[in-house]
Amino acid sequence: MKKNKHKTEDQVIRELFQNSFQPGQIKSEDFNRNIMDQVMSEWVSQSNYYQPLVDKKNRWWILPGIAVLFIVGYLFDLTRIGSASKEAMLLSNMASALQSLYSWIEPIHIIILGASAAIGLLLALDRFFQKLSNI
Amino acid sequence: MAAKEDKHIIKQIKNGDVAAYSVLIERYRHMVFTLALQLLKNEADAEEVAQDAFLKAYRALDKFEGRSSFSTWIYKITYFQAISKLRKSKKKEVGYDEDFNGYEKSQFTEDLGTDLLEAQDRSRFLKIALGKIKGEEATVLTLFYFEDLKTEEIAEITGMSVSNVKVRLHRGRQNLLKELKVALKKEAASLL
Repeated sequence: MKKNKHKTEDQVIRELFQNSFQPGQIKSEDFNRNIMDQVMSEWVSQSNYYQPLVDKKNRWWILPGIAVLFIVGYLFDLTRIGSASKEAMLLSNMASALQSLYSWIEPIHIIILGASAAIGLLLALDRFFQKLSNI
Repeated sequence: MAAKEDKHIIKQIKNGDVAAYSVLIERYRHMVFTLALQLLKNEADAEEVAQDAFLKAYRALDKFEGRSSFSTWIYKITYFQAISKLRKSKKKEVGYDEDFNGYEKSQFTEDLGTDLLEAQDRSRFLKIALGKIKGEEATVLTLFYFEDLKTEEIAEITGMSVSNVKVRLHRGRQNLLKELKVALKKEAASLL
């Protein structure tokens, strides 16, 4: 009996809230503007609002990553060079080829060079924007 | 769905699109104001608390991990902001010592559920009655019946235990019905 009464009360109040409850209306027209003004002024005064794309943890993974890319690319092109008769000369003169910068870069695959340059550029730009945002 | 949208907006804000915060303000301003008003019983104070709550939420947005919805989070901030304001102003809550007699309570409950009352009147009486009961009870009732939150979520917002929320829900129901009846009686007396 008592349980039924509670159930009825619960149901009636639920319906009352669902059909008749209206949240209070804020009378001030400047309510949103006041908050946003403060939010904006706080945001502008923040010294560091640029979020670096590359965080410190990832930075240490990138450097070995580039090194691995160089080695893989170098070895990959070296095997191709080795199969061609014309480049066989180059392979035999590897010791002398490595002495000059040009001969060191040449066997490295162009994609590896491009990827490395892109990563380097990304790091540089990231650092640049971070510094710029802190001025 | 709204919670998913809120999380997307929060992500935008964190990425630097601060203007997107106005969407969240627009979405929750009335409910935040209502909760503050129920506790403080004063519109000017409630508006101030609502503004402070939104600012506080913005400042702490980086700490918002999205475990609960943004609505639960902003209601929680509002609730504690209002309680803090209440403690500072040391306002006394409105008592409810009116007689509870007249026609049977069960009959009254049935009448409320039917169309004997006009929708506008029901809305007005509900507002009056919610203003008369304890702020915490009004808040718990609103969150439970209007926002459709679970008792666990209300416990998270208010910092009460689940059993305490249930007790307040029960008391709130009783006191709300009592106040509704008083309001209805006053209205009838003024018409006669």
